[in-house]
Amino acid sequence: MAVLAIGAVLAFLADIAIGPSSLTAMEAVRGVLFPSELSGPRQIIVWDVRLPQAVMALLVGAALSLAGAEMQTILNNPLASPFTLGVSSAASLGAALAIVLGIGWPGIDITWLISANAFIFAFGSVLLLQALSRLRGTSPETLVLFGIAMVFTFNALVAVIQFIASQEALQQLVFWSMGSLSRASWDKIAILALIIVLVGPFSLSASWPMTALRLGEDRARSFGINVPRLRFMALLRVAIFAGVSVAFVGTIGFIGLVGPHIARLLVGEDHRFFLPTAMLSGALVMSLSSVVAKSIVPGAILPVGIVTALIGVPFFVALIFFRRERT
Amino acid sequence: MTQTTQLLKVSNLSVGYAKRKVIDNLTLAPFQPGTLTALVGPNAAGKSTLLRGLAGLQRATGAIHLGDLDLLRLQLPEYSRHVGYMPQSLPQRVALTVYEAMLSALRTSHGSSSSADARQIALATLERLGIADLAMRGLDELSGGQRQLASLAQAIARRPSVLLLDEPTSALDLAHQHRVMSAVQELGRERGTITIVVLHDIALAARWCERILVLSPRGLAADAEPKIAITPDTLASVYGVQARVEHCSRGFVQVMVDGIVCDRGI
Repeated sequence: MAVLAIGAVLAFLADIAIGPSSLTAMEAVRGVLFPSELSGPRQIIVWDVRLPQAVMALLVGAALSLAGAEMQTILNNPLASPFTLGVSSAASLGAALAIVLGIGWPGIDITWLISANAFIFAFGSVLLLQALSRLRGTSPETLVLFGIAMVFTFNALVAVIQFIASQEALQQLVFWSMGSLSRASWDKIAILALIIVLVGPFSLSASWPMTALRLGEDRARSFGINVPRLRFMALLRVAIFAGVSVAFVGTIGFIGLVGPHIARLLVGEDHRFFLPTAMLSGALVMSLSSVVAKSIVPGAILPVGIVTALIGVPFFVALIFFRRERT
Repeated sequence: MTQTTQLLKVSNLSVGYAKRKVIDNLTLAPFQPGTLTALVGPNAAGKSTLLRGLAGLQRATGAIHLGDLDLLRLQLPEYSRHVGYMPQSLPQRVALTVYEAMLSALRTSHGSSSSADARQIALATLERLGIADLAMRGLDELSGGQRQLASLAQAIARRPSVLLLDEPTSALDLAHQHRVMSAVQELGRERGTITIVVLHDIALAARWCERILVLSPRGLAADAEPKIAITPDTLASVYGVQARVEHCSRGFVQVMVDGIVCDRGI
């Protein structure tokens, strides 16, 4: 865990140091530590662009990875994540409705409309999963299948909206769905940080029952654990973590899948250690992705959602082969 | 060391699903503390369902009393304080050590032990079963026999008054069968635990258990000590086999199947 934490700090510093402007790495880091030493425009680059994006990368990585870890445990499926079970697709549909059709919710400011819509749809998709989990006789396998069905349904609806969208709206929607840290702001960071601080402890306090659930549902119930309630509460947390993250930065794939797997390989599934390690590894991978996104094309920043997928896919394939070899 | 002294009484028990009762109106003679009872019967007779019903994991009506306590009126957390259950197997691909799994069993139970107590109980239980050396091994690294012992350790660590084991010796070699049954019998006698164990091997059941319940799809076919419960007639009517029942030099029941009485299908 300590190595991961150090890695995350180093990646964070690299994330601040690297960027398309002429700022040197040392200047950027010193600018964070001693803001008064920088000139006005450079201070703006550091404090309004690089730092919010770097902090957002850590927070979103931690939140998505924690959501993925909890999802994998309660659904007893190592391939479960907010991305693979429809949360991101639902958020895309919400964003598409806001961007293309201007459909939103009364009272929500226009600047927050896309994020609010994305959150409500992402949250709604997990509530749908929850509603299904409350039905008698619903197994975790059914929930996973339902989640996959949601991915296809929401993607199809997004495609319909794209088909009728104007050129400009289409471009905006495509950019949104790629997932980008450029939408980071201190307001959003404050909200996400607050959510992690307020909701995260509930995740950690469920560590023992979540660990016991890995021993099988019957066994967990024989220990006196109310498994349906445990699942319900965990899905609620997943809805909040994933919904807010996706709403703020768009579709970020694979962090919710890769983070928990790295943690599992490092510390196993005792959730007292597994959940914090998943958060750290998610933050590290996201931060590294952000660094890579700024380094691939000189002078330009690729949407980080593309990079996480590029890092995530090889890991995903390696994982499948690793699992096949073990069986 | 505290010993259970209460009787377990099961009366008019029905267990099953919303639309189908698998166990219908079953009443059993009281179970004595410290005794080991085998639950045998053909596939689909409802052995596991009955066990799950007794464990509070399956919808059940009727009455299950432990002493004066009406177990069916209790919520699951309270129920689990009195009744321990060991499912047939541990799931595969779980990245937990034997010790971590033990701690999770102890820390999640109702009125759970403190951290220090849990650690002490976990290690003492593993030691008691002779698998303390496996404490830091991953569950996935264990052999079948070691997994069953680790699984048993999770069920007995919380010292339930009633212990229900679903086929704890399935897929085990002779030595491990002996080790598991001997541990179960010894602990039961020492703690006064009422133990009910589902077994397919009738000779094994007769060797270790004081009492055998023979369950058929039509209901309870026999409930007695092995010598009385296991007869050629019972085996013919319940399993559909033509079998000889003999006794070895130590007096234990041995069953030899010679043929099929009627084709019961599979």
